[in-house]
Amino acid sequence: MLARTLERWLLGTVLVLSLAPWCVAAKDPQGSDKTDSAKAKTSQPADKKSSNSTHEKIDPSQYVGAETCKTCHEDAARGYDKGPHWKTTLANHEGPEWQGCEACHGPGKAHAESADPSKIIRFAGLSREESSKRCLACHEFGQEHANFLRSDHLKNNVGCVDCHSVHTPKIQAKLLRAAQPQLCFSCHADVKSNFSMPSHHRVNEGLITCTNCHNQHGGFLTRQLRATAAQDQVCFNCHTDKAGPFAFEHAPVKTEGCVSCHSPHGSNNPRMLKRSNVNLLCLECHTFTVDSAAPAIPSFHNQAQKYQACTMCHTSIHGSNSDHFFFKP
Amino acid sequence: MANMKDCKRPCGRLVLSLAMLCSLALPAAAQDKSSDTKTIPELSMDSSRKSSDPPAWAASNDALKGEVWGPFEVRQTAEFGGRISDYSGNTGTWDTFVNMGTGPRLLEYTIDLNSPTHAGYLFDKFNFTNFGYGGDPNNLSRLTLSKGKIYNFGASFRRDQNIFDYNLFANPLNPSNSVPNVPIVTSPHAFVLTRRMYDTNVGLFPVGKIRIKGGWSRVMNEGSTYSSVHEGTEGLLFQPTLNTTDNFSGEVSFRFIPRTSINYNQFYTYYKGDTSASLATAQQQALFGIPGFALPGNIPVSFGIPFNTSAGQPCSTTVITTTPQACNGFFSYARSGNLRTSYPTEQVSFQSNYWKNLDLSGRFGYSSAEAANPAFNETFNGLITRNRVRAFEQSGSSLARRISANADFAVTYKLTEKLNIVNQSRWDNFRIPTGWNYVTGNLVGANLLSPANVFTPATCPPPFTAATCPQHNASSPADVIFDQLSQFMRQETFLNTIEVEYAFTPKLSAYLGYRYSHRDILVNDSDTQLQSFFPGPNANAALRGACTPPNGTVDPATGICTVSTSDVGDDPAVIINYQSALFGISGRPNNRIRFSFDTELAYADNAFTRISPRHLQVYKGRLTLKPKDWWNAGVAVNIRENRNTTSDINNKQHNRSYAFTTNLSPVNAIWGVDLSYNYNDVYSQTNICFVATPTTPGTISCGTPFLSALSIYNEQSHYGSGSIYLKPVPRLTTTFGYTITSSNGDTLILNPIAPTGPLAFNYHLPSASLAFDISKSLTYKAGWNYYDYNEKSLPGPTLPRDFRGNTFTLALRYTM
Repeated sequence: MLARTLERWLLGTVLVLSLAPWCVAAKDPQGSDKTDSAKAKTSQPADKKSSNSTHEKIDPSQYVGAETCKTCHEDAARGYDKGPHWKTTLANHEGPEWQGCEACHGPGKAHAESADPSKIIRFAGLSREESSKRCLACHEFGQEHANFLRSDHLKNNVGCVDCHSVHTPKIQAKLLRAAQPQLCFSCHADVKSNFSMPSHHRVNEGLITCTNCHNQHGGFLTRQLRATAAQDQVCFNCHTDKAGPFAFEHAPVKTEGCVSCHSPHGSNNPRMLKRSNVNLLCLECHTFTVDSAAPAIPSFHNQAQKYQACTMCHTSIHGSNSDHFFFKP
Repeated sequence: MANMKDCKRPCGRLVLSLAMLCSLALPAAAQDKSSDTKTIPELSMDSSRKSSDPPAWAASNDALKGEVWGPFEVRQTAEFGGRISDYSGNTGTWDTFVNMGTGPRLLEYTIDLNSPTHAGYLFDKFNFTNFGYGGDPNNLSRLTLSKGKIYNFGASFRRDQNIFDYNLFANPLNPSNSVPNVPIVTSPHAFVLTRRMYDTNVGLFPVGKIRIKGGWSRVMNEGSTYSSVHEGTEGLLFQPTLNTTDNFSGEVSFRFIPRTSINYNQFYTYYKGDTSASLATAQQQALFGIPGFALPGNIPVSFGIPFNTSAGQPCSTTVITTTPQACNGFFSYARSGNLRTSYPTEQVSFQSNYWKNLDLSGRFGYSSAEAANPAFNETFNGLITRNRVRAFEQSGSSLARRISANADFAVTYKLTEKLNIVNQSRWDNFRIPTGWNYVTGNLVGANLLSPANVFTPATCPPPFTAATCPQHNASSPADVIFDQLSQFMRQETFLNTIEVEYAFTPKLSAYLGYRYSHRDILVNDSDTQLQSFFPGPNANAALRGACTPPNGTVDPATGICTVSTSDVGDDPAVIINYQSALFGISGRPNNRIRFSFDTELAYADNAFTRISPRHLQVYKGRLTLKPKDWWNAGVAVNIRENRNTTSDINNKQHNRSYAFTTNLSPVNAIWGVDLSYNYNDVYSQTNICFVATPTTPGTISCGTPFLSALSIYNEQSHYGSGSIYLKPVPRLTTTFGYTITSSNGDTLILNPIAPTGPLAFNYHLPSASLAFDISKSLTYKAGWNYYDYNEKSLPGPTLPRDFRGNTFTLALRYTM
């Protein structure tokens, strides 16, 4: 009863919280003409803290174009031309605030005329949230980056520029500062050892990457995990034969996940299992108990002499289409 | 043995860890100058796994001078060479862990075309890279193309040759006192599989108002696997394996509303499973150390994998030595079926920050999968002694569906410059209704040499005692079974996380949150059978199993008893309410230091499995330092504590990891160093109740014949890695490295002859490499890797799994 009341209360709270910002914010759309005209009066760099967007309309005369920037910033221009950001100059349907160097650094006229570094937006001086918002002004609009503002990374002060270097990337693809997995290991040192364990996913070998399973830009799932198209576990993207649906499901595979039995990064145990002895792993659930509906082992399963590995008989433990005891696939 | 008695130890370690983080942060905090645009230096990891260059060469081709071909700057690298491998010890473990052979290799090839003026005709950028061809277990090719605002194209091919033979896995651990003594030297579930993964994707109009994406990917598993099947004894099976999954995807993204995108996706996944199985041949069984057996009359037979005759596997010592035809055994076994699964999925998603201070994203997806196995067939010829089944055939079909609807909605509301409210909601509902119909025909016989008599009125007339009648015993199953099984599984999840984020300064922020989830899980099944019991060797033999009076009666004319049974498992739904308190703080006092600390304290009022936590504590702390532009260091602490303190379960688990890493790589210096250390502590205990004869030490009775014990699993691993590179002269670069994983632990041993195996071992991986510049574009490279896997426990009743091996890699690298 208490749980039901609590659930209703929570649902109501969530609904109110979800709708309230719409109502409040609807009064102040940031793209209104009023805002635009106010911004157009200033020759200062765009207000770097005001919103997610950097592309607020400012007097077009405050923009000088990428070619002007290149006259002084030759090295940066070289990286810019080599990378994907030069394509912004092709977005002719957008204004100058969407194009070239000034799409990220804001209008450059004042800076170009004075050579004063304080009159251009420099990423080194921004907080990670501020600098990331400047990137997201373009990159947020796709499923990959849609939740970066809510991601564990940004929440922990890891912004776009910690992994990407727009002007001097070490890895040109995605403008990365270092190749995976070293880039990830530089913070996630606790995970590095998992991939040197005897059983591990082939990350160090270059076959798969951390970002095959995790969305480094955040997502809707915890641990920044990706999912299959049907929002099933990400493991099934490669281990397709385990995805089912099966005529006889081993329910915890679907409800608790693969990580109930496996250590996904790596393990000292074969098949990346959490226990060195398969039977012990199974017995932790399949035992006589009053607290679980899992079927207990029958009395003839003598663990000391026979049945040394449950999976010798229950070979299709992830699910079966022909046997409800998982004896056959 | 570490034990998690209460919070004192983890909390104490947490405080120590935080103190360590703070103490490390202080000296570096004084230094705050550099731009943070420097790339992270790195060293070669393992020269025999793939071609990874020491830092004298850039990781990408950009550092190369290249040539100009028309509108393109062209850069190429090619590394040809070969590997020489040798090893001693266990072949299966070597193949499972290393699998590095001898032979010529294309270690790497990369070509990069870039048009700096973006004047290419078909593309402005072209990059094609490969590694591992010629025999390495992992190969990869990747191609990317792009042309301005017209398209991006990517394609990749990956191949993973995966050999598995860790001989303790699925091993029956046959004792040496068995007659005959048959140690199983190879994992009965060994396999050689090749997984090929193809990916292509294309994006049109990457800066347009309407953006279109399409993709196709394929995962194909092919190879041969061994498995086992339980029919009296466990027969060794050979399974030619083939399954293929194709994924097609399409996306249209609309960007007409300012700062808003609306996306529509279609996915279609099609799975084909064409794996069959048959009894392993005598030659295949010999690979596992199983000798050939023959019955009187020189009739070959397989007694399966387990040989523990004192425990009756496959039969008693007396029987197997005197009358082996009375043993459990296989003459033949075959299984086939073609599984086809289709998975259409639709999804609509959006992202918007149309309104100031409000960032929204959401998605809704619907999927309806169907898996059909229309023609399953299984045949067995042998003997199951407990019920005298001499042969059976089972055939049928199955159909399973998975209907899934799910939605996510996330909002970030920026209340002030410093205060954000973040709310994320997820609703996920899937249900899996399934059905399976089959027909089974059983034939019985007294022993392996007895005929499997088919019941007919002519050969088995009343009083059903003729020698040509089926020779049932009381445990014999029905002779003909029509079975209809169905299962229904459903899970509905609602998950909501609300967080308040506050930025004290632009460099220091914290959040406080609350997560609530509600799960409703239902698993039901039903089984309806129509069973026919034939008579023989006497009239009452049909009154067995489900026909045991008063459930069934015999038709006096035919002697047959037919009975219909129905069994409905109607378990109540499992409802789990899960609540978490979340807290985190992170800061970046300057561009050389970043620290973060996150914690989650959770409680659930129920659990679906006994090892699912009802109490959860997670603590994560990270500190990254950059004392100099060429010096990085990091500390990470990750502690997870799970408990289900219900008295009958008493499940306590922890996984604690303490890691340190540092990397020194001065620009243009003649040296560099990379060091890492990690301590992993894994612990689990759960009350379990099981059967073991002879009695496992330390157990108590939990009702005859069951024994109760605490299933302790306790593992401590040390991981250390160090590598150094030296460049004593401009033309020569050398690297030396050493990695060790050392594990110790203990666990509840249920079988007195079972070794702890992978719970206690040392795995040494030293390496060295050199690269000598012969000319500006040609470099000679040599690498050496040593592998030494050594388990600390006794090997048990099978071969030791230890191995030692060398891999030498010699190559010429051409750069342009």
